[in-house]
Amino acid sequence: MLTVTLSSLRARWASLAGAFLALGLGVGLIAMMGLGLAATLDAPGQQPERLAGAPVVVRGADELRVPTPAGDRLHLLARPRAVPSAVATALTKLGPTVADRSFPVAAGALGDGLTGHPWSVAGFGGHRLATGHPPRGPAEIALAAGPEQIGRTVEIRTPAGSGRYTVAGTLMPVAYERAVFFTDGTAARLSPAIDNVVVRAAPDAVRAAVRGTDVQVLTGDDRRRADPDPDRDRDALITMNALLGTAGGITAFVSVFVVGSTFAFAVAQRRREIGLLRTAGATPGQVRGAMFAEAVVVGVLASAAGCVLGARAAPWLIRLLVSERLAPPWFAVGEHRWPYHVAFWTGLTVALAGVLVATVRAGRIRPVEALREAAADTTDMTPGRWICGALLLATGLGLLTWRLLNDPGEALHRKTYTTQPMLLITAVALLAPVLAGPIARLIGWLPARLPGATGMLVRENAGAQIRRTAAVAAPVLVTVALAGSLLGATATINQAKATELGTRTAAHLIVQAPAAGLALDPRSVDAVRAVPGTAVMASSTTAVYTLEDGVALTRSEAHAVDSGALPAVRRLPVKAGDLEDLDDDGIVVNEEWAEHTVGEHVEVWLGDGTRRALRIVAVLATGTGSNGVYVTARNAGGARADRLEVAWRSGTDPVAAEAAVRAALKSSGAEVRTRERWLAEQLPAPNRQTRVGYLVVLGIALVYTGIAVAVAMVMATSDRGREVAVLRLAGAIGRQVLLLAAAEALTVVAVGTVLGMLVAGLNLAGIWAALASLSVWAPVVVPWTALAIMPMACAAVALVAALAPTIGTLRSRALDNTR
Amino acid sequence: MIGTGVRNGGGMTRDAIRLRRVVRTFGAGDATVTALHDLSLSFAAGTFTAVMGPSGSGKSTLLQCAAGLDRPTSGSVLLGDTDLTSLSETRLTRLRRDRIGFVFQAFNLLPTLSAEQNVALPLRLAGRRPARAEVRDTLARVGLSDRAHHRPHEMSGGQQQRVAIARALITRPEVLFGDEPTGALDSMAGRQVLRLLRGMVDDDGQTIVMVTHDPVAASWADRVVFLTDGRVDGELDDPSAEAVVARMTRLEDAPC
Repeated sequence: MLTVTLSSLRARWASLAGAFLALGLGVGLIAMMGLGLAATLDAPGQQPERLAGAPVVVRGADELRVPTPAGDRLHLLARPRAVPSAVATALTKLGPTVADRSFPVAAGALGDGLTGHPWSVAGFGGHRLATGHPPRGPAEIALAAGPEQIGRTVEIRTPAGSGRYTVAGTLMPVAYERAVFFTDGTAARLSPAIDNVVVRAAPDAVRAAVRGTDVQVLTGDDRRRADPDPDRDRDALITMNALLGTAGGITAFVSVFVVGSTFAFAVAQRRREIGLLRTAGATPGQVRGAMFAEAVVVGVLASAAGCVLGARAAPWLIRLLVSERLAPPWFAVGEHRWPYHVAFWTGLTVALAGVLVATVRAGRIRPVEALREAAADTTDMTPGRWICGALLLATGLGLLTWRLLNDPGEALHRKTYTTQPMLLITAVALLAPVLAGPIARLIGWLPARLPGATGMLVRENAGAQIRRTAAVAAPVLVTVALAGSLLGATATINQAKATELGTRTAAHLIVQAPAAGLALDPRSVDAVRAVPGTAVMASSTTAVYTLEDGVALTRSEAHAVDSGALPAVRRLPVKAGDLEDLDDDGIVVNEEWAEHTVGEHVEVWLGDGTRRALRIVAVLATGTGSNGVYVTARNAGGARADRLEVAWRSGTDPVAAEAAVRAALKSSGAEVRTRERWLAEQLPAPNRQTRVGYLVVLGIALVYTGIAVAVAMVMATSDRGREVAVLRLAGAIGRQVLLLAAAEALTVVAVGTVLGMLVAGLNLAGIWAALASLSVWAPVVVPWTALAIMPMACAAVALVAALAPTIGTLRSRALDNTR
Repeated sequence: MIGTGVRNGGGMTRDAIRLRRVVRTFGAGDATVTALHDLSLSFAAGTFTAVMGPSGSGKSTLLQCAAGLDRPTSGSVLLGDTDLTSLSETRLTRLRRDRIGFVFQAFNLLPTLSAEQNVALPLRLAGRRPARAEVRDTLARVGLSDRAHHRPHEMSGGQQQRVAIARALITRPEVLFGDEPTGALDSMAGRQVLRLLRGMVDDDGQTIVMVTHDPVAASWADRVVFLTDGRVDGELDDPSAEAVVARMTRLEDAPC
């Protein structure tokens, strides 16, 4: 049987080359994404930086720890607590100590977004003086800057307000933060809370001294908890993991889909050959064996080639991610072997499964049946195909409906809207033979009315040779459906968020603190409030923690506001209760909360970990998930107002009022934006990074499906030598044959496009419905550009792939091809 | 060498197709095989000619050269006044489409098209919209009015061959060629096809040239031309099956 296998390997080169290419590339892609994904699991231990030189660091509690029956639940606090002064005093008895403080600083000309510290901790973090001297007087500072800045006096804003400081020394820059150093005394005045205490003493002695308090004693690598961004590397990896995980999921799906359908098509194409084998006395078992043996040979070789390809491609992918700043510079391919195993065995299994399903069918072919004129396909739909297709369709639609009814917010999560299309795509691809015929006939209706033969032939061929139509349409379907669904989903969700934000924002002016982390100074706030004809709300962003179902500690974004002006500046989707009732013992929650009954009390922890019982005064619709909860400023957990929202009362002259507000804030450094400008700035900017992200997540998979279109087309066309010959004997000239091949290719692409758009439409409708049931009435954003470009690209690929082999066929004599 | 339209009532006859000193070789060098040796032959308009000969005698090559499906290595083929050997491939295809009909042993219908669509195909390929009546009439002539919407695989061999004949006739060709048109049919279906061909010659004055190896099929013709080794090896007018058998036996037994 092996010689038969080998000889058929030679004879069916187009099919086999196609199957080899599809599988090799598919395995290569899976291996590449797998290697990238594996690399995100290797977190390099982030070393302490800012207090790397400190022997022992005592740090205020920065985690909320809630004991539950299922063990302690932890969450990072929005505002870490300070080291209590009693503890700081107690520590001085153990040895020399340094009180460390961190606070936001805006230094105008010298840069905003800086962090202030006392000079005594500078040495622990590797800060070295470049020129000048350390800050000595209360109005002196040192920071990383050019030597020409020495002696310059600048206006500096700190949490304690603004003041004028003189640059006494300049420092060598460090990588992890942009710091401004004050004298220890000035730092203590500007930011009284002690964040960390550096102690020169034995760790055990320190632990003994702080026993009974909630402070942490950090030694070794743990000291990085005092760094400005202690989880920077881990977060970068989490981002990469999400990106490559999504990309890997999509790639794996596309590969499995393409490989399965290509191998099944390769077998389906060999009806005649199988019939001959059967006539010559091969049993069904032998036929299956031969096909299977062949698939093993091709599968092993192609999967191995794919692994080699993946090994080469993974470093390229990672270089791309690093050079586009999507990944940190140290991101590199690890030593993992499992991606190769996953890719190799997935590829081989799918290839063999595809062949197995097709050969079971092929084995049933009776000799005479196969030898009959290669007629129109009569058995496009096997019972298995019906059952699988119907089941998948039912599952896809069922999940969609179930989510709509139970958890519409789920539909907006990336994991949901990337996997949802996969179910529907597979279902539609399986059912494609049923749909392809009518669609092809519909598309061909008009051309078939024309006098020439091409229209009629296209319509009849595409409509009758369903198997071939479906096989070529499948990769087009995936391309169009994936691009349409994913791009449409993200665009629709972004649009919904923008719409929601726009609807919610009733304020005419939005005022923000001079720099992140800084608060608005109370005098300016009062001045704005004094402007006649305005409703002014000061707010800060914090968090509220709650224990759901007794075990899950969840964090909610919280807005701490002055309740009086809330309804005037924000139009919130209130489902129950009244916003006016919000007081210092109240909370406004959203429907995502397990407990959302007006009047009930809920146990919460505030941003600084304070435990409180608050009464639910109103309930908001969930929306796209950014509605958050509302508390009063007293429950802000220490966060101070950093934003003002100003709305005009009716009858106010907006021009005069805006001028008055700007005048009131003139010296505060606060930024005033009109509603329109502020909303525009909230939109996610379409930057190069986002585009590269899309390229990695979607682009690579789509290039692969493009190749799959070509492969399927070449396979289908190479099978048609006899048909072309018969047509030529009936009097078709070369140009007509080429025209026909082109028209057929376009028709098949059109069939795939229609099916793909059907799937994309269904997915987007699901997202629209989910948004609607979350009370967000935003239009569906259809990615028309992508939906136009994808089919055009597929059409171009299909044309080349159909015409090249047809030209080859035309070179030979028609008579030789009829035999 | 000029055939006489015996059953056509005699009178002035004109040659529908003429082969002049046609040579056709295949391969090159030592492996050269000569299928037609300097062969000259004419087929009179309105006659039914059968071409016979042992395997490898060149009868199919003769037919293909005469029908413009193949090009002679040298010599000329005249259809009326047109020399087929001087035409480009596209012109030749157009001429075949308009002036020559061809029926194959393997039917060569397009599997995805219905009988009606198969018959209309040559007209459509010529860029014409076929009149429904024209197609129906042609199908009626081959006795298949009731099979217009059937696809080839839904029909018997004899029916498929009759569709193929209708397809060949729709352009009203000057000559209809048949390459063993009954070779794949049982005797009953074969007889039906031959009766149809005979009728077309008698009633419409159609010119038919048919290659066959079946003496019974050949006996339906006005004239039988025998080929051996690519040369004409005699002919029979108004043949009977017995006479053809006798002649064939002699040809096949002759030492090569």
